[in-house]
Amino acid sequence: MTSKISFYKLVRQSMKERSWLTVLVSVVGFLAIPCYLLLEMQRQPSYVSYLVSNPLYETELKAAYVRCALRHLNGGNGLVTAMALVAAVLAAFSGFRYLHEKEKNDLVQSAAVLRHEMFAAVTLAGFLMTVGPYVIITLMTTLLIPTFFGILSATILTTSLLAMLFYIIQFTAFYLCAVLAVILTGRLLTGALTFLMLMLYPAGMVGLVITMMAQHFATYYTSIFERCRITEYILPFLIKGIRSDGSLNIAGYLVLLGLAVLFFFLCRFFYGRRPAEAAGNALTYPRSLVVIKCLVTIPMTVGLSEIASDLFGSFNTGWYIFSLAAAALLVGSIIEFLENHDIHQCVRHWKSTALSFLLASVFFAIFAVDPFGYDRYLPETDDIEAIGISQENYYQVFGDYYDLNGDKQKYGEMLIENSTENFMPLYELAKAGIERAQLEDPYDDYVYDEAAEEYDAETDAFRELRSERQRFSRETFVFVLKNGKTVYRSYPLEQSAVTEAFCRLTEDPAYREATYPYDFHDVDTFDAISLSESANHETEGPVIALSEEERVEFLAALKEDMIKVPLSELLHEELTAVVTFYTQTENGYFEAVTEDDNACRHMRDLAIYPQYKLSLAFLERKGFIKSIPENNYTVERLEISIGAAVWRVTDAEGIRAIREIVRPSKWNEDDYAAFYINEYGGFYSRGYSGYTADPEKLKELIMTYGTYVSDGEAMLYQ
Amino acid sequence: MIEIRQVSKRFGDITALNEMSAVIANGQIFGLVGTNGSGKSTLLRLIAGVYKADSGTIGVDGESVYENPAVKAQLCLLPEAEAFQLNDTPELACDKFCVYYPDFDRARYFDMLKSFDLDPKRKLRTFSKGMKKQVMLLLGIMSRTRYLLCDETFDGLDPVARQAFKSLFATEMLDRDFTPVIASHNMRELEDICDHVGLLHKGRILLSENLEELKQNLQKVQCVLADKGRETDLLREKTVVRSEQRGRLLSLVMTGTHDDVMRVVAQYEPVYAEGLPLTQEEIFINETEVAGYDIKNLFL
Repeated sequence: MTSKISFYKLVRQSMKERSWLTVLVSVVGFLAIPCYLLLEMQRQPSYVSYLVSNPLYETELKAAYVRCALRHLNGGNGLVTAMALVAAVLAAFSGFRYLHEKEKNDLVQSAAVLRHEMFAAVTLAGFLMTVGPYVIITLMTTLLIPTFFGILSATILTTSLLAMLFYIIQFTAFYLCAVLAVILTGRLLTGALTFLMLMLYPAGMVGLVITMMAQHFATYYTSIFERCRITEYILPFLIKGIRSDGSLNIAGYLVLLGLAVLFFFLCRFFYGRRPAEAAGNALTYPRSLVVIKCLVTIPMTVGLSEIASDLFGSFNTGWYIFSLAAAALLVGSIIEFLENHDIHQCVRHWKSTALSFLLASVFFAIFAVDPFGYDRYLPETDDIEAIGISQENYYQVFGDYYDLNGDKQKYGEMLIENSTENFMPLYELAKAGIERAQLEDPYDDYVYDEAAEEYDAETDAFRELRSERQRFSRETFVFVLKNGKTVYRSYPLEQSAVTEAFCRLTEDPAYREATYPYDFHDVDTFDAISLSESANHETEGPVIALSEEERVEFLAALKEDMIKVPLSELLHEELTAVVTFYTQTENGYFEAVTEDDNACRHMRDLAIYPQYKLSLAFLERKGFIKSIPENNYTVERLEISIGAAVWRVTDAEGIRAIREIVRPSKWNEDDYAAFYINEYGGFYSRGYSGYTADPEKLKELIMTYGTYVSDGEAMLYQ
Repeated sequence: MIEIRQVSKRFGDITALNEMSAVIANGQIFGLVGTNGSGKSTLLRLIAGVYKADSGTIGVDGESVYENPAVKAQLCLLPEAEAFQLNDTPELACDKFCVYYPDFDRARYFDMLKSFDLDPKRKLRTFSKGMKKQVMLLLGIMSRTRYLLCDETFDGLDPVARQAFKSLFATEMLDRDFTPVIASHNMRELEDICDHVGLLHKGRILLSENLEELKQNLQKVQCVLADKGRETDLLREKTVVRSEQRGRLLSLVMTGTHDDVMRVVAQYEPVYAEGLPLTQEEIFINETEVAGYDIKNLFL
C-alpha cells in the first residue's frame, strides 16, 4: 500500500525551493515600508520649523506626523503597489516555471497528485512567501513607528489594516494574472508578454477607441468616457484603496477581488487541461496564435497608423491603407518570430496576418467611414425627453463664468440639469451642427487675426471685434431620452445661431429660472464684493465685506433681476457695472488670484445691467455706486512697473505730477503700454497699463520721487 | 500489469503513437527498443500519466493512469538531472523525492550513494553524465514504486555500473513486486538486462516477445556441404528463414529447436555443421522480416 502525498509537504517543498523569494520580499519590504516611513517622519520637523517659537508648534508637528504616517500607511501608496506587482510576477514565474521546462514538468506531472492539488500547493506556497513577510512588516511598522512618535491611534490602525487588506487583494489579482500567463504559455518571454497583455489590453483597447472616436468623429464629446468611472478600474495597478478625498474606495476593493476570483478560476480551469507537451512551446494552445495575433495586431496596427499619420501629416485613404498593411505585416512578423525564434518563418502564417490586416482595416473603417452614423445621429423628437446645451455662450453676457470643462463630471451633470423639455430650438441647432460636422473643415469661415493677440484690454470694441472673428464655436449637447439614456454630442455651430437659440429659449421664464447661472446659491460661498465700471476693472472700488443678511438680500435681488430679463434684451445692452465676488477659501467656481501682498483671493465677476433694478438699488443703498472713484481721489502710493523694475512713489507732489502725465493706455490708439501703474489709497486700489506722451518727463519724476523696490533692467519705450 | 490498448498520441502534425497496443507483465524487466522518434519517450510519459492519450486507454491492473493518484503512486518516471534546481545535490534531490514518493527508502539511498562513491552534498551539475544517470537510477529504485520507467537511462553507464544496476534490479525484483521498463535505442545494451523486449517503430509495436522463447524457436547454423546440389536442396527447406553464403560456408537461420534444426541439416550430410547463438539484433531482424519490415536498415 503506497502512502499518499502530503499537501502540506508539497507546499513546504515549493517554498523551500525558492526561499530566496521570501528573503527578497522581506528585505525590499523592510526598506520600502518602515525605513522609508521613518525617514519621512524624521523630516517632518523641518516642514513646521517656521512655527518653532510658536505655541502651536507641538500640535502642528504632531499633526504633520499623523499626516505622514497616514500617507504611507493608507491604500494610496504607489510604492507598495509597485512592490506587489513585482513580487507577484516573481512568485508566479518562479513557482510555475516547471510548466515551461520539459524535464521539470515531467517530474512534477508524474507525481501521484491531482493537478488541481498541485496547482493549489504551488499557488499557496507563493502566496505565503510574499504576503507573510509583508503582513509582518506592515504590522510591526503600524504598531512601532507611530508609538515611537506618540501618534498611535485607532485611525492609524484602521487605515493601515484596511490598506493591508487592499494590497493583499491587489497582490492576489496580480499574482493569479501572472500565473495564468505562465499556464497559457510555454516560454518565459511569451509568458511575460502575455502577462503584460492581460494587464494592459482592456485599458489599451478602451484608450484606442476613445482616441479613434476623438480623432475621427466630428461630433464626439470626450467627457463621455472620461466621466465613465469604469476606465479608472480597467488598469488594476492604478486602482487605489482610497479616493482623492481620502475616503475608502470600496469599488476598488471589489473590482480587484472580482479580478482575483476570475483569474483564480481561469487558472484552475486551464491548469487542469494544460497539455504537458506544451512545455517549451511559445503558446500552450498553438491554435490560439491566430486569435492572439488578431487581438494584438488590431490595436497595434491602428495605433501605429495613427502615430504615423500624426508624424508625417494627415494621411489620405491610400496612405492609411498602406500604413495599416505595413503595420500588420510588421506586428504579425514579430509575433511569428516570438513564437518560432526563426526569422525565416516570420511570414509563415500569412493567412492569419492577412486576417489581422482585414480586421484592423474593418476596425479602422468603423471610425474613418462612420458606417453606423455616429456623426449623423439625431434621435427622433418623440424619443426625446429634454435637450441640454453648454451654457458658455449664454453665460458670457453675465461676465466671467467658470469653465467647468476641467471637471468632466460636474460639466456633464450641469448639462443635464440645464436641459429643457422645450427643446425645439436646440433640436434645430443640433441638425445644423450635424450638417456642419459633415464638412471637410467645419470652421472654414473662421478668420484668425494674429494681431488680436497683442491686445488684452477687454474694451467693448475689442469684444465686438473678437466676436466677429470667432464666428464658430463647439457646443456640447446632451439628449435626455425617454428610455432613460443620455447621449452626448459636440457640434461646430455658428455663434450667432447659438445665441439666437438661447434668445428663443430664454423667452421662457421657466428656462431662465432653471438655468439661473449662479452656482453659489449658498450665501457662505462669498464674503465680500467690489464694484468696477467695466469688465477690465479700469476703475475699481474698494472691497467691502458683507454681512450674512446683506449677502442674502443681494443674492435674492440678483436672482429676481436676472430671471426677469431674457437674453435678447441684454445682448446689445451696455452694462452698468461689474460686481466682483470675493472669498478667502478655495472655491471651484472662483478664480484664484495672488495679490501684490502675496495674499491669495478667489474672485468671480458678474455683469450688472440697467435692467437689474433691485440689484442696483441695493448697491446704491449700500454706497457702492458712489464709491466708484472719479479722477479726483486720494492716492497715497504709486507703484510703477517698467519691465522687471518697480519704483514706489509716496510723495504727494510726485504722485500728483505723475498722474497728470499718465493715463490708462488704449489698445486702439497707443503703440503699446510700456509700464504698469498700481494706485493705492486706503482700501482703494486700481491698476492699469499706462501711457504717457512725455516719457522723459516721467523718467525724471520717477528718478526724483521714486524708490527702487525690486531689481531689474528698466526699459521705457522711446 | 500495464495494459496499453489502441493508444494514439499526436503532437500537431506529428503522430508519435498510432493505435499502439502492448502488455507489460509484472515481475519482468521490459525493454522498449526503437529508433529515435519511434515513440519510446512518448509511451513512457503516457504510462506515467504525464501526457494524456488522444485515444485508447492505458491502465495498471485495469485502472486508468491519467489523473489517478492511486495508480500514479505505483509508477515512477525516472527524471533527468535537468529536472532539478541548478544548485541541487543528491541530498536535496532526495528531499524532493521523499515528498513525491512517501515510501522512499532514504537510509538505503544514502548507503547506495556511498557504495557508488557519489557525494550526496556535491552539486548535480558538477557530476559527469554517467554519474547523473546513476543518481537518477538510485532515486528511482529507492522510490519503491511497483513500476520504474527509465528513458534511455542505461545509455552512458559504464559496463561495471550497468552490471551493478542489473544486480540491483534483480535484488529488488526478488524482494518485492518490481517491474522496470527500460527504453533504449541500443538493442545490444539491453540484451543482457531485459527479459521481455518490445520493438517500437513509427508509433507502433512491431514485436513484443520473451527473449528466451524467441531464442528457443530460432537457431543459427553454420555448415559446409559436399556439393552445390545439396546446398540448393537445403536452402529449399521450409524451416530456413534466412541464409548467407561466404564461399563454401553457409550461414542459416532456421526455425525450430536446436535438435530439430540439427536433424534437418544432418540429412544433407554436411562436411561441417555447428549451431551458434543468435544475438537479439539478429532475432529482431528475422522476426521483423517475417512481419514484412526490412528493419535491419534501421540499425547500424
